[in-house]
Amino acid sequence: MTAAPANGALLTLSEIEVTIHTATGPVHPLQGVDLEVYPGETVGLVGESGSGKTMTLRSILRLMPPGGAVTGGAIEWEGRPVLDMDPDELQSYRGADVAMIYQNPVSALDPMLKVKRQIVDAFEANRNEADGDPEEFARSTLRDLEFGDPEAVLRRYPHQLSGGMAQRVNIALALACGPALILADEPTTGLDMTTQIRVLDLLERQVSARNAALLFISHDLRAVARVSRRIGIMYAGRVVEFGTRERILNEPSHPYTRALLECVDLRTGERPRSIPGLVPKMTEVYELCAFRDRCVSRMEVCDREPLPRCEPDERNMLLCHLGYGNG
Amino acid sequence: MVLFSVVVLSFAVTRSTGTPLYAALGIQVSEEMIEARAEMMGLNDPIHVQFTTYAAALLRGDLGASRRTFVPVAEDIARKLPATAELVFFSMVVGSIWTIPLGVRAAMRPNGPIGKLGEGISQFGVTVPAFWLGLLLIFLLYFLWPVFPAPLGRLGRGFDPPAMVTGFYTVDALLAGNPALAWEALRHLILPAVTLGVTSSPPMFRVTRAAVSEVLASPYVEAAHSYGLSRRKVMIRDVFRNASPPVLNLAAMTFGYLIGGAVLVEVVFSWPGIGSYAVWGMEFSDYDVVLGVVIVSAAIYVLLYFIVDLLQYAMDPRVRN
Amino acid sequence: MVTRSQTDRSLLSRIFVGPTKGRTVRRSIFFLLLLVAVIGPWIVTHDPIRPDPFNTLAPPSAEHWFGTDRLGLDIFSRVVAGTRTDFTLALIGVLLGGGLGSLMGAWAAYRRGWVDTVLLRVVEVLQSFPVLLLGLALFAALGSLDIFEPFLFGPFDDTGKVVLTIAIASVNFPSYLRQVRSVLLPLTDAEFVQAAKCSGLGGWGIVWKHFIPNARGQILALFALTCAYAIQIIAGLSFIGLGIEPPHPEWGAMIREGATVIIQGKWWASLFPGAAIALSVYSLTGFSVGSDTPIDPASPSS
Ligand SMILES: Nc1ncnc2c1ncn2[C@@H]1O[C@H](COP(=O)(O)OP(=O)(O)OP(=O)(O)O)[C@@H](O)[C@H]1O
Ligand SMILES: [Mg+2]
Repeated sequence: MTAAPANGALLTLSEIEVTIHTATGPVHPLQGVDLEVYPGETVGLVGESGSGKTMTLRSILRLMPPGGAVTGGAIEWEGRPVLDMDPDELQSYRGADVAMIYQNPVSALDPMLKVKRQIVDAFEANRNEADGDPEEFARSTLRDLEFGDPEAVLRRYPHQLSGGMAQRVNIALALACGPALILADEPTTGLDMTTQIRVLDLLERQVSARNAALLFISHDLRAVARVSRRIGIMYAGRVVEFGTRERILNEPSHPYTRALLECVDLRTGERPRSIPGLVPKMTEVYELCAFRDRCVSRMEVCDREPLPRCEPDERNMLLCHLGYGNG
Repeated sequence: MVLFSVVVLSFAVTRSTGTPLYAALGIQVSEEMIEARAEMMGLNDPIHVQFTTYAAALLRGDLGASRRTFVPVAEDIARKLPATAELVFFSMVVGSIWTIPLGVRAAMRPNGPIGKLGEGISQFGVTVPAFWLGLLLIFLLYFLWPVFPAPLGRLGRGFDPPAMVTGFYTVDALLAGNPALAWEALRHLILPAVTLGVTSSPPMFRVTRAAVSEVLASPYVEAAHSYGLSRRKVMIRDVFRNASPPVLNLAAMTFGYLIGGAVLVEVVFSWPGIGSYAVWGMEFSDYDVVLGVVIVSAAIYVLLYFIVDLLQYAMDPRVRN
Repeated sequence: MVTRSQTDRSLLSRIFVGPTKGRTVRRSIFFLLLLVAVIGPWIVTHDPIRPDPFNTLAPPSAEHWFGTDRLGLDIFSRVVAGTRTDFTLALIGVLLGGGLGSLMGAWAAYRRGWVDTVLLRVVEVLQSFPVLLLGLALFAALGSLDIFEPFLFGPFDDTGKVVLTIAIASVNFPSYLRQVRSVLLPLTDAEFVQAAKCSGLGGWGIVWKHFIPNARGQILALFALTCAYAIQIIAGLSFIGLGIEPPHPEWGAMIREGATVIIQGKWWASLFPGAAIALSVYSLTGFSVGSDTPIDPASPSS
């Protein structure tokens, strides 16, 4: 099969395509996603609602909605092809290698089970006795996550938690698995501003304390910029630009990235205006650039040829006819 | 409260028609005899007095007496209820045996052969009238191909019922250490139970399938998989647990439905339960009999719902708060 | 403590749902049956109520397509004639109970308060009876009354049919009331209702003009299901000897007739009327909406 990753990447997605068959026809939420995560680093992924951020994370874990399947591309975990794993390998890969924090924290918890049971089960599914007592772990993790009375929280059912509490319980669940990579799907949406920042800092601290990598998703570029070393920009089921935080924030190359940056005031987080035009429908497959209808730098070649891929080094990537250094 | 209204309503409904005692006593009796009998049974009192008497008696567990045999209705019902209970119980077993596994499977593989099979059986069970299915089964499995005994009651000729413990002949016979008798009882039970089971269970199949597929598609099940829990564990810990309240709720409804449906099937199989007792009472305008059965079944119905609510309360933490 | 109203007792919506596929076939069958109900008298081969004493219990033949029963009545003709009986009674019973139930449901949603509470109680009580036993009780009460005599006409040419219709209506009343009420409850405070109130429209005016139209979809969806159920109840009650007296052609009563001879192997007397019931119910499921069959050709997470 595939050799060990030459570049030492933890996770590599190349050209991932996902198709979901629905009652009204197929939907193509991912149309060739490229992404790499290195051990211990924090990568941010930004995109408008519906651009396929959540779907990217679900494809990494091979957890598809009913009717959905990864129809193309390759996913490698430490050089092992995830798409070829058998159910047993998959089960041990989920959780122990990669764990996910879900976008909607309350509905990601089983409503019939107490918090304690859920954390203990996640712990026991991925670890052995050498890792200590699961209940003790649950208590100390909740304490790390700034719960005043962990014992009381452990005894609660999900519906008895507030949004912020549920979010931190989700973080504890992911940590309980002891993964090398944590996927965090907008872990701060639905929380008020101060709670957002607090949860974000907590998450970052806990992840780095465990030397894990973090793939962090948000539609909020500011939140991503706060924690990520490298940032990917998603548009219509593709990562259209990928680069270091400095490069993305200071010399963005993709017109969409620029438009995003113009829309957001990075200090206040206010969105003075939005990008004109319509978000593309994912019932179509886009051979050409999907952004060109909204693009200010649209060229004649954009309507003619599929997107070229510029990859000056292994940490930067751009899908645009303009190429780097055009700004 | 509900029960009280049920009693009032049934009473009003059945008593509003005067006193057709002649129907019970026969044509040739004289006016005086009817009068005497009516006086004795209090049927000449004003209706509210009758009702008060009836209600007072009811509180003591007295449902009046049959106008034909003069056996107390409560006594008859107590004797016949186990037959209905056994039939209903085994129908429920028949129903659950196929609906739950097939429903779960159908939810996991919506277009698989098992799902289609379940849908097919459901469609069949829904469209076919229970009494007609019973007759067809009798024709096929008794007349054409005599696998089962004649559809005449709970035991064949020459068998005596086992000593009463639970009232279920199958169970009582086993308790009495008489497997042959248990087998006989079972053989009589199978056709009516299958008839009733197949025609009453389609909603269970659909609700099981809907509940399980809803839970399977829920974020918390996906999350449970994402933590690396085994499929088995997720199935038992999350899916079954969360899908069971609606299924249980429906099971109770089905029980209620079975009590009604049993009337028809009991008639077809000459099953000596409260359903055929009510029909018998009906034939002779013996209204205390009908009234008694109606009240008892409504009471069972109401009780069932109470139990389901309690179970729901016990099972679902969200209901508790 | 939990209250009972939390548990929805309407089995109905769960029973007669069919898969979305093959609807056209089922609908076509339905319209065919409807046609048979209408033109029945012209397509029967024999008089459905004139016995032929020399030809009793004859098996199906060229002369008697479905055979004859104990009295020598032609079963084919009776099955055809029964279509009209069963369809008419089911339709009228459902229209009566459903119409009243819908109105009351809308009214309960509009007025809320004690009206709502009282109506819900009534419904709850009605639904505490197993359906067939409710029918039984009604027959016990009304079956031997002659108060209906002066009003017997058209499809209601005997008391049994009237009581049967009342029974169907009382079974349907609660289902429609509940359904319509639950659909409309959220509308009570809607702007257009407030506007209508301001414009001086009376309570019933609002219910009729604004509430009922909003529940139309739900009412129609329930209609086919309840008709299917009604046919089964009618047949069931007739089967135990309530409702329709033997010479009248009705499917359940015919099966009752046939039941006595099936042990002797005379299957045709009960097979055909039963098949007619099954076919009617089957065809009516073609009108059900919102089947709970999952559509996605999907396997869950794997
Ligand atoms: N189960 C599904 N069935 C059909 N389409 C789906 C399904 N799940 C997602 N999609 C579609 O896939 C696309 C990507 O969805 P995804 O959830 O990944 O978006 P997202 O970037 O996470 O957006 P958000 O910021 O709103 O969470 C959307 O167009 C969405 O409509
Ligand atoms: Mg998302």
